[in-house]
Amino acid sequence: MKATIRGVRIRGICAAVPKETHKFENEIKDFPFPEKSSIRLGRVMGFREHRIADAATTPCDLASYILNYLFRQGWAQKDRLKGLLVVAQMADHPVPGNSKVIHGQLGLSQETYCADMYENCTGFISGLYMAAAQVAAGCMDEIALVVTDGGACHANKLDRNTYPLCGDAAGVALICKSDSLEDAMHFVFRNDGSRREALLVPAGGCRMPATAETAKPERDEMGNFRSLNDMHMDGTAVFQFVMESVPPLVKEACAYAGIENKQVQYHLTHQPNRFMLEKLADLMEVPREILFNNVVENFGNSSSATIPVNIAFNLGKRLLTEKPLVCLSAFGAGLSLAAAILHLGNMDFCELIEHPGNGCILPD
Amino acid sequence: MELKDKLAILEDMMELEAGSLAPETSLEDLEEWDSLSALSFVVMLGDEFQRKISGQEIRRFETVQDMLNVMERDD
Repeated sequence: MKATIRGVRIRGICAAVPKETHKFENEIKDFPFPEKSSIRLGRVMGFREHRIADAATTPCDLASYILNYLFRQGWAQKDRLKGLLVVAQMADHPVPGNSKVIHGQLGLSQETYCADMYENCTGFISGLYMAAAQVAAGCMDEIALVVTDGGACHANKLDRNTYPLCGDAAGVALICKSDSLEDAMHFVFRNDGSRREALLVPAGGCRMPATAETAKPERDEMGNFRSLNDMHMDGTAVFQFVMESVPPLVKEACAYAGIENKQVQYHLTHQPNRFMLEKLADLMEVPREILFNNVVENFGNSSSATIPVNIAFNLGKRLLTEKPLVCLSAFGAGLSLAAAILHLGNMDFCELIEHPGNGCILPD
Repeated sequence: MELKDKLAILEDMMELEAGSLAPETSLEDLEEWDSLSALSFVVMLGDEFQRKISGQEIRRFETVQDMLNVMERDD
């Protein structure tokens, strides 16, 4: 599916990562592999440290902390926020949805539109499309798109295939109207549910409820441990999916937006791991300097939140005065693909903050 | 490509000393045969031999010979 939405812009991005840092070198002893082999994996994949929320901090806490920070800074106003769209793959509760929890934590107006989207790695772009459409349709002047992830990707701590690359984070983008002709967002989406088992958590939902049996870890062919309640990732299948599908998707998005590939000033991608992104940049013939690959080694892969973390960490305050033409792209569980071409910048704020832990929702 | 060259590619891929691998080497006994090596094998097969292979096929490998058998160009 392709769509263009005009007359909207992102006026600010703020992402938060938990203060609690876990170093890969300290986790090596927990994996059922020789240390030398794990060190080699860390060097190639880019595993160094990742941020994991403490047990008292939920995805909603991370998100509410960011929004309260924006209110305190004067960058967002409660009475101006007519909509709240929350994208996540983990919920504070099975009922109600995260957007209602955040609404209550923030004390927003009862007239605020609140909605929840369940999305994985492509969540920021999917959410951006839905949020932008609300503003462009004239339903509201401004909407907060929240992407939040906790629970470290459902990974088992003994699974060296998945745990080292996981991280928790949240991101908020404020989307508002724009009178500038330059402000248009061009989206391309692709899905292939027939390959969904390449990234799957088998148990814990309606298809296979969680039980004591599903919680028992088992050893796979490569020696990793995981239970049916944990993320199962076929690394080879995911790698091939990304290498085969993302370059044509980006090419298609550029053609749809009426631009040449080389006009893209930054490729702001979802962050699975450094190894995959280096290969992707080379395959797309894009300089590695404009396709950042450093989020996993600094913070971990926080699913839909990696794009705002990527933007805030790598570009940050530069986007207050610059407005480059960028291609956002994301790929992952589904298996799903998404891309968006837009001018991103001249923002009111663009920063990465740390969450102190303990379920805090009010910055000092 | 000669056998010795293919073995050299595999040894380099797994950061092993030259001469460490033989066709009959069992992958189960090889510490360096892990998920990273499997992914590196996929990349190498594509780059050097323009071939694709699935994770399922790789999981069926038992010896180095199984790896050597797929290290051929399709043409």
